[in-house]
Amino acid sequence: MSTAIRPGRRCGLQEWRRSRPFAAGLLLGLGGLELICVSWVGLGFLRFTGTAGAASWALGALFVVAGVTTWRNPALRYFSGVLAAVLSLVSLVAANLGGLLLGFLLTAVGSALALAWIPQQAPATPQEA
Amino acid sequence: MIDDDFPVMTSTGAGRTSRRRFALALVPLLVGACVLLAGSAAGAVSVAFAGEVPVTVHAARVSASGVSASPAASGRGGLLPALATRVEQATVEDACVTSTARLPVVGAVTAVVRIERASATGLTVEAGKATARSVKLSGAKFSTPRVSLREPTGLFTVGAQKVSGNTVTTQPHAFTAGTITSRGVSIDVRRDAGGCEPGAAR
Repeated sequence: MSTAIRPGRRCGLQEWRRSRPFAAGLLLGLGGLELICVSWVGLGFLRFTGTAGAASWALGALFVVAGVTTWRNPALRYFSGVLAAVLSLVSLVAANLGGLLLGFLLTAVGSALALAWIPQQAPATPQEA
Repeated sequence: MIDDDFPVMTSTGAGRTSRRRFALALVPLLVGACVLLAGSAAGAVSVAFAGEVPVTVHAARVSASGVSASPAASGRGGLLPALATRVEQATVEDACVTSTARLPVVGAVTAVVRIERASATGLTVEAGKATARSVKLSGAKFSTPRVSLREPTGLFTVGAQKVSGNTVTTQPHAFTAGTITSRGVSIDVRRDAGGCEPGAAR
């Protein structure tokens, strides 16, 4: 019984992934977490030290929110993509060189993927060969 | 179940990534990043850092204003005694910063950063060791909080309006800075545990 359900779940997961900019949201979330982790490892848990420490947490949280937004509402991908693109540049100067450049690269690619994703349009006539 | 995911009803549920759009979005971002990094290397753009890394700093000349220092503890759990120093504005010349990390596979990796001149504002340093060949203070002050005549009730604080020193070596446990502007930066990473000697900043 469970073996009959698993392919359906896998198919559902694949449909869910294809129906939204999955990679964009994933990279944005990972980039945000990386920014936070660099600050966390360098400063100790929950030590908001200086502007860079606070900015890392704030920007990281915003990236995670942007990633979740692209997953939950792909129609807002342009908003979250542009927001993440601008914030990725801000992170370079405000948050430990964009999480030692890795966080910047993840969020920059993620925002570009969000802006480049196109939902497949339905054909004009519903009858297909 | 979540129908509001797609307000545009013409979409079929699937999607694709346009390579042309991807390139159009990514290239300006990378160009902007290169401009920012180049500006930072040239000293035109300030970059904010906060960290807790094992580093040793050698500087030929250090000058600072608005300095106050008091004993504190740093490290996780506050196990390391340190002198917490707050500096409103600081400038170092001919500085050399070394940091050695012991990685699991690679072994010891040392990063040596040589800086011709760097200035920082809103700098807080928790240092466990500091030596200098000569130090000049102006407007020095010392205070101990005391509410009873028999014994002090808090940690002492030393400070100065202006401080300058030559051939300074310090091992900061942690630092924070509002902004750091540097000029003439060169970074060298090598696979050993060496460092830079005092006076070898250039």
